[in-house]
This record gives sequence, structure tokens and C-alpha cells, in this order.
Amino acid sequence: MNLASIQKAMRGWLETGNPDYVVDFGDAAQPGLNVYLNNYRTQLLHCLDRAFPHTRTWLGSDRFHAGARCHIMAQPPVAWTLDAYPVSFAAEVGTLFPDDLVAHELAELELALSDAQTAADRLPLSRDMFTHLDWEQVSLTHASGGQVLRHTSNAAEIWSALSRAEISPVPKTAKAPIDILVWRSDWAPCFRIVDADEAEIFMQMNPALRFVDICAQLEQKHGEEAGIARAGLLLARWADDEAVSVSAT
Amino acid sequence: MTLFGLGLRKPHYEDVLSGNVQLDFAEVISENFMFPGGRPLADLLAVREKCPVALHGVSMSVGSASGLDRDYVQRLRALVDVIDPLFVSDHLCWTRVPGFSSHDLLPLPYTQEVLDIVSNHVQAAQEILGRQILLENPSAYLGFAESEMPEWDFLSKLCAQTGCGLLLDVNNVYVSALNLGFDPADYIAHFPMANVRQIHIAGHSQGQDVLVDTHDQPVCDAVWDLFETAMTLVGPVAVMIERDNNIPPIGELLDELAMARACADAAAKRGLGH
Repeated sequence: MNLASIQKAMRGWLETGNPDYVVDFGDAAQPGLNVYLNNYRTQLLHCLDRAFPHTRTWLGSDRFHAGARCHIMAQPPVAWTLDAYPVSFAAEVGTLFPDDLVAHELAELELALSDAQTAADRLPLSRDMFTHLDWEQVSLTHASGGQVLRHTSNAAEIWSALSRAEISPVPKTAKAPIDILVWRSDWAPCFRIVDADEAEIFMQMNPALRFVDICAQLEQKHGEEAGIARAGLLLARWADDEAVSVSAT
Repeated sequence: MTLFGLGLRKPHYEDVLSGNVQLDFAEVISENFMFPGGRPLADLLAVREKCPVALHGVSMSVGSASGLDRDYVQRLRALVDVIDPLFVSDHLCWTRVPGFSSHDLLPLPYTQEVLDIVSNHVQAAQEILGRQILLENPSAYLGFAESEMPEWDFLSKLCAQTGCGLLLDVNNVYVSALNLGFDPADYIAHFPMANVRQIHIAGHSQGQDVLVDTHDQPVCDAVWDLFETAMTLVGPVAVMIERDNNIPPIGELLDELAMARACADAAAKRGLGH
């Protein structure tokens, strides 16, 4: 066998556990092949365990692992980093657990929080920067790892309860979509539920949105005085939360 | 001069950053820091202020028949430029084919075909990185009937063709020897020691039918003996304890590092040593 044939056979064995792929390796290779197969599957299972601790608690370890094993058999990792593997699992949670109202949104939130941990560093806007900025010109963008998730369930509330080891609220479908701001502050990923105004503006901050345009949008929606007041309140909150940065562009 | 360090893992960062533990160098897993930002990279930069850092990778896959992942190596280069590491190393293995990444260090047959492929990839990686890389002898759980030369001979030829250096993992020698049925002392005697820049010492576990390179146990006596023998044959190197699972308090690893120093001293009295 040449190298390409050996690697094709080994891939088939690891993905399926079907010994037909590696019959040419000989009987003596079987104990070693079993070690590689076990290493492969165990590593992926541990990766999903680490990435989705509260989704696992919510579903129960046995149920979560059964779903994870199905996913591992169906979707091999592709990227050079194991940190990419949870992405495909999060996308499949709704299909793997179709009768669970919140599991897919719990997984989506955990993935966003994990992504925020290693997102590019950006200096957050702080209150002491206010007096130095030209507010006619300044554009705002997300702080490190910033994104908005739109949920249809109370998964975020459940996540918070699970993270505090408290009794979780009853899962339910929300009357209206719930927008969740995710970002990283002081090295730690965090999130909060926001109203439609804030979510809409935050989404427009990718890649950047001028502060005067934020004011104009809010004025149009709420009137001049209330709109400007709202813009000021949002700006203060973002600065306190370290949720936005000044865009370089 | 021989350097003594540790494979630095998260539970021990504070010990190093606080200055309570002095190391000649620390080795970290490259892929854990190949991100745009965040705390891991900030912590690594702080460690870099305390001692030299070696970058040890698991995903270069120099043995992939389908080619080298140049994007991966470019990302590694970005980290290298930030850290200015003591060494950059990876393994003599393959981990990926198009559409599939095993995230495990899979074995290669030692043939001329594979030597040509690995040599090309090592040369390309060194060009992108702008520096020498070290390759580690892997722990193996199976051998290939196709192999045309022993592992030490393959590594020797690889060094000659590419100018790469070697990371000798003594525990891997022991694990592979017992699994594949060769004499570990004979392997050490033939290993191209002139190319060795770094040595790993680690523990392993007994699996159902084979020894498994788990890095979750203290170093066993047989591996210490092999290490001492290797130290009689090698020049100045960077020696470290590698523990990835069942990680004990740092004191236990420092005790093992003291044992490594004692073995190196004993080797110096016996032979070339440090």
C-alpha cells in the first residue's frame, strides 16, 4: 500500500469502525487500530463535553452523549483545530434533540460565548474616552467577540440558572423573539438580553456605525428629545459593559 | 548547557507567573494559542516575560499524502513572530486528509515514498516559518509491513535532507518498543543524537493489549533508565517533563524535573552528558 492508500483506509476505519477498511493492515495491527479508534472518538466526545457543559446538564449526560456519538459518526472534524468541531454540533442539536424546546439555543449560546473567549482583542470604549472623541465623526463597532443572537425560547434564562447551579425555569417559547448580546469583557465572555432597539443598532455595528447615525435612528423612532436621551443611555451602558469599541475606519 | 523545563498547562500558569517557580523554559501546545486574541495569548505573553517558551504542535501533519496545510503553517508563523520561541516542534506523523482531521498522531510507514513526502513538507514549513523545526518520534500502536527502514534511520535521513532537528521523546521510544517488539536501548543507541535539540520525558498507561502514551502518570523507572542512557549520547539539549492528563500539583512535576537533573548529572559522569 502506498501512503495515500494507507491514509484512506485509516480514515475509513476511524470514521466508521468498519474493519473492512483496514483488512490489509493484518491481524497483528488490530489492538493498535483499536487504540487509535478509541483515541479518536474519546477526544471528540471530550471536546463536545467541554464546549457544551450546560447543554449537557440540561439534556442529561446519557442523552447528550448519545447525540454526540451520533454526530461524531456522521460528521468528522475537518479543521486543524479541535475548537472548530463544536460549530457543526451546535448546528445539529435541533435535529438531534427535536423534542427539546431549548437545547439548540443553549448550544448556540455556549458556542457564541466560547468564540468570544478567543476573538480578536479590541480596546473597549470607556467613559474616560468620551471627552476625547469627536462625536460627529466617531464610529462604533463590537467589542471583542460581539454578536447578537435571536432566540425563540427562554434558553438564556435557563443557561443562567444552570451556570449558578439553580433550579432552571420551565422551558417555554417566547411571545416575541429574544435578542441576546454576546461579547467579551475583561477576558471573560458575557451576555445580556437587550430590547429590539439595542439589538438592531448593535447588529448594524458590524463592521461599524457612526454615532450620529445611531442618534438619527433613535430620534426618528422616539422623537428628538427621547431619541437623544436613549442614545446617551445606550452609550453609557455600552461603556460600562465594555461592549463596544471605537472603529478605526 | 542543558536546560530543564516543563510542559506548561493551565493549572500551573499561576505558579510560573507569580515567580514562585523558576524554569529554564516552558513548552506549550501551539494550537492552544493560534487565535486572534483573548486570555490564552495574553497569558502566554506574560509567561514569555518569565522564561523562554517552546512551541509544540500537534496539527502540522507533515506526513499527509495530500500535502502540507500552508494556511496552518502561516498561522503558526504569526504566533512564532509574536513569541520568538526557543524551539518550534511537531511530530513525525499524519493527522489529516482532505475533509478529515483525526486530531490524533497517526503512524507512518517508513518508506522512501514517505521520506520524500515528509522531507518536502518539512522544507516548505521551515521556509514559511523562517526557521528550523524539530520533529518528535511518535508513540506507535501498530507497525507497517511496508516499512523499508527503522524509524531512527528515517529520522536521520530526514534531518540530512531538510536540516530539521529532532525532539527525542524517551517515553515514546519505550511505548513503541514494547508495542512493536523492538529493543528500546537499541533504538536509543542508533538514534541520530547529533540532531537532538530537545527531550521529552513522560508517563504512560497499560491499555488492554498495548501501552498507551497517555501522559497521565509519573515517569516509570524504565523510562528514567532510557533517559539517562540517552543523556550519555547527546550534547546540550532542553529536557522537559510532559504531563497532559491527571495533572498533579506543580511540586510533583518539579520533583520529576529534579530527577531528570540527577539522571543528567549521572550521565555526565558516565559519558558525554551535558
